[in-house]
Amino acid sequence: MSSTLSTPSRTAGALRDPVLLAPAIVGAGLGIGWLGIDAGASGTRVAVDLALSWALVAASLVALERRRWKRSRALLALAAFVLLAADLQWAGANLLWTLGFLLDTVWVALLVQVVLTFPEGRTWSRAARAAIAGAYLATLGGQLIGAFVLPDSRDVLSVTQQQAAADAIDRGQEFLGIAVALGVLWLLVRRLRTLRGPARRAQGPLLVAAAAAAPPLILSLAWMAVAGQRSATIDTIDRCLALLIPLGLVAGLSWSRLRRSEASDLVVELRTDGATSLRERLAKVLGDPTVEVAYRLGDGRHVDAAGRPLELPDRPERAITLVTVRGEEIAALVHDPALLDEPALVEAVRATAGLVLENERLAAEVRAQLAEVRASRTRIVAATDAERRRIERNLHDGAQQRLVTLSLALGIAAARHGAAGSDVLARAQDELDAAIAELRELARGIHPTLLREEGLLTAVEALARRTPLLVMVEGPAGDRLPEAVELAAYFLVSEALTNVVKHAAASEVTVRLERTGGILRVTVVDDGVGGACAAADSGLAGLRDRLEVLDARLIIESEPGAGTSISVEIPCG
Amino acid sequence: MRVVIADDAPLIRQGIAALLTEAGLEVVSQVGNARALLASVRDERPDVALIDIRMPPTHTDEGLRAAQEIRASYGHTAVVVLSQHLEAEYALRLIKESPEGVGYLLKERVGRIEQLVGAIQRVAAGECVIDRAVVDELLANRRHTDPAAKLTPREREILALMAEGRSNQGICGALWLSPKTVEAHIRNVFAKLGITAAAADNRRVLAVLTYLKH
Repeated sequence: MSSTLSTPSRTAGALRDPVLLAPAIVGAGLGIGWLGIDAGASGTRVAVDLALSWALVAASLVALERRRWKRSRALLALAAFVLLAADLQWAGANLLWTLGFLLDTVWVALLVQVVLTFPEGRTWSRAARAAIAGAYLATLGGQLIGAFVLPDSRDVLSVTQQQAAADAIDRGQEFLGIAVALGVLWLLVRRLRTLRGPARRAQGPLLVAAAAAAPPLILSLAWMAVAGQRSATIDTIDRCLALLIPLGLVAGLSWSRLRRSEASDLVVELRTDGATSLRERLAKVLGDPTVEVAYRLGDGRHVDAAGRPLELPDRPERAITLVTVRGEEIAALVHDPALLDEPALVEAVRATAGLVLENERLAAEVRAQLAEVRASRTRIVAATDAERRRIERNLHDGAQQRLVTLSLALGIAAARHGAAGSDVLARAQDELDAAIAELRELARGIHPTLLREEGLLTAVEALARRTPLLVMVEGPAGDRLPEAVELAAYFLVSEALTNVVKHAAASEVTVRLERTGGILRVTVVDDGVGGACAAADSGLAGLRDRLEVLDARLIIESEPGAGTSISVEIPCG
Repeated sequence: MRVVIADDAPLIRQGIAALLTEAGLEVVSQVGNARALLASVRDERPDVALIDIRMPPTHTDEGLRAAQEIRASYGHTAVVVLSQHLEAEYALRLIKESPEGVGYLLKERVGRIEQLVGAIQRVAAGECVIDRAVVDELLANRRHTDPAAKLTPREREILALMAEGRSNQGICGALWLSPKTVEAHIRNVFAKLGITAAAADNRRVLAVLTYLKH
């Protein structure tokens, strides 16, 4: 047995990933660190910058296993690079200092973009796009404008030197930063509430980390805005907070991987026949409650475990993974597309579930065939009823109508010819009446018009009256029931009464119609000799198909000497 | 006597019209569905409407319902419904509101001109007429512990005639009995069956048929 992936290998593309520039960033970090120490910068600050940039790179490396996270990974690496580039302020040259000044806080905007486009690099919404734009405006934009007025000799962009203007721009950056951070927090909370299943597991931790970092960031911005100055300590604290983001990313991936190791227990769990269905067990292991299993039948159709037809969805909200055994598709798992982020998990499930799925598929196939046989029997009974009705109608509208016309013609002939030949005409008229009466009897046996037009109770009363025994009919008039139910009940009473007359030597029969809940119970009890059984050739056996199509239950009680009770319970909705 | 005929088969309609005309009745209108029938009764005010039970559109009981409507709205016009149903349920549905001037005959009676004309004349006179075959079916299987089984053959005959809608006088004529004898028999029948004797002959039909149906 072998299970194979239906999609091509997913590892080839990763080798060309920009994240492999990581060694360069590690090297750049070391260089910047040396610069900082040489320039007399705070040791703590240098350490925190190195820690944050390397953590970002490390996280983007760990995320290599997720093909679809390519853009987020690149953004993380870029953030690390920009963070280090900002520290070029420690270099002696004015041009490098200015470049560092411009990039000073841009890494924050990059992290905002990472978070709000996580995990596939697509912006969540229009509001998210606005928040990202706001973040770049508050960071890069603010620094650029500030550079024109900054009273600092190292600033090569300086046009005029105005401390008040530079301070005002700083405050503007802080207020805009607060607004953006609040917006990001709101977006994060909303996103977290909609995440479900495997996506929540893989992406949740990063989003929670970002949401946790936002309030302290807001407070620090607010403090600076109120105090009217920047603070190196607070800058360092904010960078420490930013560490939460790579940590969250790695945590999410590990959590997913933890679940994946559970997949190896799946073999055992899937093969034990628990009370839960295979679908439920798969849902539990995959962490996706919406998972569906569609078994593929020989003719290419798909069915569920009960054998009911199932269409494979063709919507972006549902993903399909095919399970093949020896190159032949046996089933399709229909699941949340977020599971595609965990190909290893899905692959493990596919590999281990193959045998169990194959068994379940055979069972589903049998159930589907059974359902087909049932459906076909239902159709046959319905077609028989329709045909009987058609024949009954044709007898009335065709043959009987013609006989009546003939009778009329005879009547006219008799009226015109007076006494001459009236004897012959009268005999012909009698014969014709007998023929019409026989035809009527025949038509009634084929399909009871009275039942169709007046309902079950009336039709059963008429049946009872035609029976040469004392027949009591008990039952509420009640509402009309589905035609198939009425016909089954009617034919059952008809057969039962015929049997009583033929075999039971009874003096009294009771027919009882009861309707409780969704069940019609019809009982025919006689006080005859008993000892009856539903022999294969009896009329009751002929009703088997009709009753089984309706899921009806036939009960015959017939102790010798104790009469016979035939009852049937028909579900009638 | 002015008669309207309603039957969706033109051949039968025309045949009946020819027969009735020959028997001296005046056929004032022939129609093929219930709507045309009601319009015709409204315009012509016939003495009797002779109606086939099955008419378009559903070919089930349109004629029966039209007959009930005629009796309710046009008291002057009596009705005879021609039906292929032997079951008494249909006859009872027809007469249950009021048995006066109402008849229920099997369709094949159209070939028996004297029976047909007789029924038409009787309903026109306000009587109730039920086909003998329908009554026979009600009586056919009365046996064993059924109170009706205790009736003498003569009493059964009288019960059947009452069920057909015959008046006392009609029963006397049919059985060659004196009115007194007939009255005595009728009293016995009601006593044995345990039904209260209705005064009017027509009401008696309803009581007897209802009794027999169960």
